[in-house]
Amino acid sequence: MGKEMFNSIKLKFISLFILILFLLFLPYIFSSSFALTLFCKMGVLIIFSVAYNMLLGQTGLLSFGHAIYFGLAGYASIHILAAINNSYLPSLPLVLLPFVGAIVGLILGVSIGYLSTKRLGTAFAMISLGFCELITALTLIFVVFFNGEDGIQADRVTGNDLFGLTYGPQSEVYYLILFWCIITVLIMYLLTKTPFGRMCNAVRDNQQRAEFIGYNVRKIRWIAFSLSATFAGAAGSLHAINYEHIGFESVSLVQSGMVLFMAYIGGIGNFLGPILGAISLTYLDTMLSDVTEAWVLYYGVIFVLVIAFAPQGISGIILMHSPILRNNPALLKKLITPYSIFLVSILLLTIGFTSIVELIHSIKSNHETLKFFWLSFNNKNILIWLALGLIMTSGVIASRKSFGLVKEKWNEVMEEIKLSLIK
Amino acid sequence: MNYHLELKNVKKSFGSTSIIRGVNLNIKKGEIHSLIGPNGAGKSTLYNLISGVYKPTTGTIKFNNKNIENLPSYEIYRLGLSRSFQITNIFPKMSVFENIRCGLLWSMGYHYSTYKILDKDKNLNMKTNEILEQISLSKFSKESAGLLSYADQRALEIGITIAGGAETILLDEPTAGMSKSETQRATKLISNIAKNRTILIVEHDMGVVFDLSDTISVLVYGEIICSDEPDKVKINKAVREAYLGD
Amino acid sequence: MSLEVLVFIIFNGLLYGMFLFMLSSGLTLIFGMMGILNFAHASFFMIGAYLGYQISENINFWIALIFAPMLVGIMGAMIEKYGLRNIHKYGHIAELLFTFGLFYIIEEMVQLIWGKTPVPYKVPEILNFPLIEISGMSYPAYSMFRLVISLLIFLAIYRVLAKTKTGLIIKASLTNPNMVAALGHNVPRVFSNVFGFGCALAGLAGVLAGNVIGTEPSMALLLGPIVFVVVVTGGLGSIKGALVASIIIGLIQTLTISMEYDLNSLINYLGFQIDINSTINHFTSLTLSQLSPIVPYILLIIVLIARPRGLFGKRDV
Repeated sequence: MGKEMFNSIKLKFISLFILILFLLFLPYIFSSSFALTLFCKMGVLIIFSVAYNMLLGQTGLLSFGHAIYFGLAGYASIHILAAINNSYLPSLPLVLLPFVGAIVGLILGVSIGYLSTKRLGTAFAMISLGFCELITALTLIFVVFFNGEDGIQADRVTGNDLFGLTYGPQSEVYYLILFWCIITVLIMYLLTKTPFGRMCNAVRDNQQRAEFIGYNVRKIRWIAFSLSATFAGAAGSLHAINYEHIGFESVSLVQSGMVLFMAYIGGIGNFLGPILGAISLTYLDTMLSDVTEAWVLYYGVIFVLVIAFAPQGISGIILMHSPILRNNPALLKKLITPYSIFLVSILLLTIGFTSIVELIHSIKSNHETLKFFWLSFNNKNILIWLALGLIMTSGVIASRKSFGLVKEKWNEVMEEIKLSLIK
Repeated sequence: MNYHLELKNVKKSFGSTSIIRGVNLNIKKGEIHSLIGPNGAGKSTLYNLISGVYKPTTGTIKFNNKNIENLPSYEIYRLGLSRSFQITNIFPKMSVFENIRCGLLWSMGYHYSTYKILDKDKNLNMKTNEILEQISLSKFSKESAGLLSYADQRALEIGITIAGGAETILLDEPTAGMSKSETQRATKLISNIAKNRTILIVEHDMGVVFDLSDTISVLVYGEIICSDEPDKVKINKAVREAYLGD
Repeated sequence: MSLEVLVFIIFNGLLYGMFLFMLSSGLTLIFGMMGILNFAHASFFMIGAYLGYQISENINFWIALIFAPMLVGIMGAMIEKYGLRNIHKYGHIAELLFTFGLFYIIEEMVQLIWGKTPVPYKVPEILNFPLIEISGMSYPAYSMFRLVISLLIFLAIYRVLAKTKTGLIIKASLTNPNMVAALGHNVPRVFSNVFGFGCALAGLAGVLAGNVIGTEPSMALLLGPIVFVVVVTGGLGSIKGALVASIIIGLIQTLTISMEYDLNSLINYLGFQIDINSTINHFTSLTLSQLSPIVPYILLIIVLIARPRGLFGKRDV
């Protein structure tokens, strides 16, 4: 047992080391400025969504207002940068700026958290929404600090930082974000291994029981809230450095909704979920927003489908298979056929739905034809509409049926696992 | 005489309905004390009053000579009074091992620590495994608690309840809904954990009650009508009329 | 402030309040019965406005007034039946998230169909004249019409809840949702109907208000939070509470928006002076009308923290 555990820890360290090495060389593998911008955005959003999930996934609190800590820390950082630009403040190594953002997040989190954690469930969610709208409205009212809808700008090149970095080129910002990403994610991971982290899960699972093993559950929620805001603040600071600009939308409901989508679609039930969600959705976001105007719609549809049919998220689905893998990997074979049928039906549905949406869009923007993947359609041709309608309908039906099939097979497999456990 | 747990004239009403109508109950250190009574007599409410879920309308509750009627549940627990629930009350998404380990945290002095890594504490993990052994759930230690069978979940619940080393335990219908063999296993477990502990138990299975108890109290319509040794309760006239139904 | 102006402001406050009531009363019922705080409620309001515009364009306003809310109602009932009902088992948070996603989808769909810019939804010609004019302040006929309709709606809901069997079931499930199922009523169907009805009310509010406040894709986002404020402040499931809360919020909003007082005037009154060029002047010179947008949110937070059962609610949120 002991040796086995030691080996698994060693394995973890080695894979972590390889991962970091890979991330260090990433700018050399994908050196286009497009890729670098994408990686920077991903890094920031990974921190933000992992921080967010500390609240939603780990502690079971749904917040619609987490952008407050992200955005306000961003504003604070930009102001500090601007003050350095104007020599009101002595030059501060840029690498320390996220630390300031984290402190801003912590102060806000402690105070707003004190009020909001009095309630939980829907009431908590509503309070967070109230704060989000309140702060968004205030950013538009207090023009002197927030500069209204324009937001504020600053120059991140403030003179030489440590190791002679200037943060002029994007690649240097990439390393700054990577550094903070690794540090914060590692700390947040270790936090889940502490008594506090465990008790967050306990409060999420069963608040009454948590109280009867000696814990003041509100205090747990409050600490979780404050720490989560702290890390969100660090992320906001990096966001501000990355874009050299911050605007009111970064504290708004839209930003809060974005991080919620990322965490949820990635899977709130485990630590890796939000990371996966941040990477995949940022990628989709960047890719799709160039090709189609309706990407937010697709976003919303994916989110709703995940809630309805796969509330455990992408990572949850993957991890659901670990009991099978642990007890009887051969059973996985049984699942291959239903899975592939299901995937094909989903593909059918996706093609039907997206092409109809794009057709409507092409009519609205007065284009005659629509280029879809490698095909060209004439949007006035009724036959094409009919065909696509047919594809989508059959996709819906096939998905429903095959989803049932997947469920059935899954239950069979789980039954077998349970039986083998009882023995 | 000073009792271990002492309820004096405890009353509780919700709106205009009074559920507990003046209960006096004394529990001696080290005994197994059963609380029986028909459905709706107020047993669960009484448990909730003792454990701090509700505050009594009037009356005092003393635990080791300290008034606890106005303390929140978690502080009562920290004084050494732990309880189980009628409805299984575990952490379903966490592993069986984690369930028990959480129960140990407060008593091992971890409190709200945000920097100690639990897996490193060999002593803690050893203690967790000991308790798992005691409730015979070692083989499921990695499975998530929600997947266990009902009887195993009940055993896990008792495990969480005793994990923190509380010297006084309130058990709420620990064998409800169990088959005969499962009941036997649970009874054995209870008498096993009763060593060096004071136990208050609510139970419907009279076999279990008369097997285990040192003292039996009978609660009918919010009042204790009798509190005595099993043999004397058996022949008590008021009890027979009100409860045993002869 | 002259008396005429005050009367005018109160009239507008009432008008806005009654509009808020029509918009939120449906959600009050839905939230009270099913515990679903429908994030997309204001989206149904928006669909109502767009359908109102489309039908008015193609046929006429009166047909729109009847059919647009019905369409919205059917849409709502379908969403409840095929969407929300399946999610119920995952709990209220999942339901809330589902409606949050719905909110995004509806906004995008509307943009896809009607474009990102506002549509020219006009007040019907027949009602487009000033009904009364008092010392320069005109009271449009259409506003009066809206006021009357919303009053009728309130009376209708009140009567249905008080006098009919459906009303009895709804009222029973407002106070104790679990009991009604135990009594053998077809609760899922009642839920679908109430959900649809609530959405239809929001749709009606959309048809009536879209041509006044402007029909555009962001209208749901703008009004969504205010709906929550009304529902929470009024109290879970209380129609009377929703009415009172709507009117209070309507009056407060309209009053504050017309008040140009700032902290500076108070400070001057006390005999002090703030330097106009100082930083602090940026804050003290903010007028009440500038601060009026934040009033509802502050109200929402305070009510939820200090009195989660609202004004007339029987249970906590």
